[in-house]
Formats: sequence, C-alpha cells, structure tokens
Amino acid sequence: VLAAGLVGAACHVARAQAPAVDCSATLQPGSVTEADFRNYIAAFNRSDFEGFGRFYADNVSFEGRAGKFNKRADVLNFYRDVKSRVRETLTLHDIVIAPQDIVADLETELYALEDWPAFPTGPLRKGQTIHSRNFIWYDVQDGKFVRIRSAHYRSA
Amino acid sequence: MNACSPDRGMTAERFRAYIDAFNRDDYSGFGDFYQDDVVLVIAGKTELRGRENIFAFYKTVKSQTRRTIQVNKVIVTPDRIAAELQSEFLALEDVPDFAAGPLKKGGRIFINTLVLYELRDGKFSRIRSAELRKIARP
Repeated sequence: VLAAGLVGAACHVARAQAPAVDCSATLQPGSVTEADFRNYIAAFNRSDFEGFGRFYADNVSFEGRAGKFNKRADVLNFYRDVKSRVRETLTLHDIVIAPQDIVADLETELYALEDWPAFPTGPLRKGQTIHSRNFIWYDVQDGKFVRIRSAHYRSA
Repeated sequence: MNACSPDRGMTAERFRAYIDAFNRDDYSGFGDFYQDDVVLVIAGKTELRGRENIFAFYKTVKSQTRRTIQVNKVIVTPDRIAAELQSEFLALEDVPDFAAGPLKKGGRIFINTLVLYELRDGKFSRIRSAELRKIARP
C-alpha cells in the first residue's frame, strides 16, 4: 500500500489555451511554472531534444504507456527512436501546478511515418493517425521532472 | 483573498473529508461536495450527469463491492483539484460484469487513478478519472 501524503498547497490552475489565473510568479524557486511547462511541450513537439530533455532529472523515473525508464538518457533514446518513425504532437488541455507537482491533461497525436507493427500501444500503419488523451503526473525537484507517470483517459 | 491560494472553500483537508465520507457511504456527506449538475467521466467512457445519477451509480457499485479509497497525492487550487487515488474494490458477491473486470465474492481489484476535479463555488462541477494502474486478485 502506498503511503498517503498530501502535496503542499498549490498555486496555479489554468485552462489549456486561455489561462484564467496565472499564479506562476508565486511558485517557489526550483519549481516549474506553466510557462516553463508550455516551453517543454513546445520543445517536445519540434523534436528539440536538448530543449525538452533539460526538464528531465538524470535519474528520472518515466512510466509511460509505451515504456518505463529510469534515466534521462534512456528516455531521450526512446523518444529519438519513436520520433524517427512517428510524428508525435502533444496538446495541453488542462494543467494543475503545485511547487513540486504538475498534473497535465494532454492529448497525443501520433502520425505514423512508416509501418510499425510492434508499436507498444498497438500496430501502426504508415500514414495512420491516432489520438489519445492522458493525464500525466510530473513530480518536480529543483526545476526538473524526477518522476513522470501517465494515466490513460481515453483513445480517439 | 489571494487568487493563488486554495482559499475559496476547498482545501486538502476538506478533500480528505470528502473521501472519508465516500468511504463510509455517507451520501449526504460526500454529496455536499457535488454541484447539482456535476458531471463524472470515468476513464473517458462512462459519463454520468447530475448528483442523483452519480448516487445511483455508486449505490449499485457499493451494493456489489466495498470500495475503499486512499488519497496518495492531492493538489488543491482555487478551481481545480488533481488527485492520485488508490481504490480497493472488495467483492461482496460474484460480479462477473464488474466494470473493472470480473470478480468473485471475496476477490479484490486495486486501481490507482489520476483524477481531475473542476470546482465551481467550492464544489465539484466536473470530475474526470484516468486509470494509472490496476491489480486484480479476482
């Protein structure tokens, strides 16, 4: 049984495309602001590995639907492989931010650049596009993600 | 009032009180946290609209299983809550068509979910849950 624990009082909530309240300035040093997080997503979408990779702690625990890793380098290698075969685009729909936690409602669009019958979440055909919606919990320390966990909300 | 602090009626302690009321089947207690027109979306599939429909759903679930929820993590903001919940479903009878998987009497399913609550006037207006992990001991 996991230990119960409350996260500290949170600061910021905003709708994906039209932030209603931006409290990022009150976040503690070492946290990740909404602007930072949007930069992370933007860097991911343009396959800027250095840009989004800087958000991962060296020993980040990554528990995605398509793989589990415990090192930043392994996460980046995973994405280098994925992005060589699939165009992955993330859209942020909602976000909740606390000093040491971020929870994001993210839509993932995958466009297959080639056939990938063994794709972890199901076979992909070249030219096929699939969508999924996931809630992602990021644990943050010193301005970096130390744990990333993905919960599947829905497909398509 | 500071818009950047969770001071519009909802706190982590109140959220825990909600979960406690749910666990002891105190419908009045946990129902007080729902707006009348609250929407509950479970795993992007099952959508329930209105407090009474949600009660009816839970009354069915709770007649078949004893569900105990533990709060693993929670973030409370003025108009959102994000929580990681760990639920244990203990089957009180055979439930071959249980939504999370078939159960025999005495069997258990453990499900961790990430749940996003949208707040209006300090009460839940929309609740959406996504499955993080499931362990079945049916």
